[in-house]
Amino acid sequence: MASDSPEPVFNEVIHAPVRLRICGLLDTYGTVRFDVLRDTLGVSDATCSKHLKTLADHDYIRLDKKAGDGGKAYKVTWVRLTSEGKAAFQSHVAALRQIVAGQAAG
Amino acid sequence: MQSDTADEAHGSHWHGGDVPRAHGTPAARDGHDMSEALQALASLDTDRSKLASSYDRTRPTTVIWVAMVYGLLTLTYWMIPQAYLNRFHLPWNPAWIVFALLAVSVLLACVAMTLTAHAQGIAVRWMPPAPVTADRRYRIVLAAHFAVNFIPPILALVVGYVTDAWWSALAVAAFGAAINGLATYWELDAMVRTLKRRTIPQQDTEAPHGIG
Repeated sequence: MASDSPEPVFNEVIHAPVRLRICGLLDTYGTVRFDVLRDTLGVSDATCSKHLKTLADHDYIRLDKKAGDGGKAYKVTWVRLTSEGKAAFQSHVAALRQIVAGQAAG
Repeated sequence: MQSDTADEAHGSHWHGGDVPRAHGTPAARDGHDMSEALQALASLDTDRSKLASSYDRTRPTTVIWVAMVYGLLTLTYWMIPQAYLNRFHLPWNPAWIVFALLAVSVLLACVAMTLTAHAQGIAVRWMPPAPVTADRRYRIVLAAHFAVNFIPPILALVVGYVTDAWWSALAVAAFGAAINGLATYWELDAMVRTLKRRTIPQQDTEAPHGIG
């Protein structure tokens, strides 16, 4: 479970721009549909899938494929952060904020 | 719009393992790090704000759904005294009308949540996003909604006890719908405002010239 004030830990996997933005959206909005994620990020299907796979390989997100509307043949993918992913993302954001705050103080 | 660059596709735009960090003096490198960190945090703000527009877009339909559900629930409260006093002289237990109205209200609420989630592409959740629950303005609106939430049922019970006129049922249902619809509108307004708010200052893009 992610705590309220996570320890700042820089995460190389999450820091990649698209992956950071994916985690940011999922952290705020919970479970989001693949097409909404892709359109919000403004990336292609392939790019989005690739980054989701990387995050899923690290157990930071979970992909759930559900049947489409009216039991159609295609599957709709829903994406959500795992508790591990949430903790890693929040620690990474804390690290980013620390960098900004450290520089500002300096 | 496809804006993914080769760097982004590889996921190593800033600090990726296969890309060296910025070279130069420690001061310049620190400045570069801060710029990168600010850029990263700003991108999170931008995305959150972009997806918040889905709440804004579905606001009218959400308000209508909520008004319908609460209108029906208020009508259910109005019906309780009628059923208790068996004013309609029904041959069967009048409590079934209350249960039926309650069931329809719950069903309508479920349909509303499912359709809204489908339109937004965001799964149904009982709590609003974390930044929203932490917002003072939203909590005030929520507390106000909770407080006024009790008025329509109490009024409906009293009116239902006093009269069984059809217009009184219509009036209390409309009152319940209006109160809760308005409160939901304000809740969504506070939610969208919070989600669109920037958490970090905008980066100053103006280059310092050091003159003057």
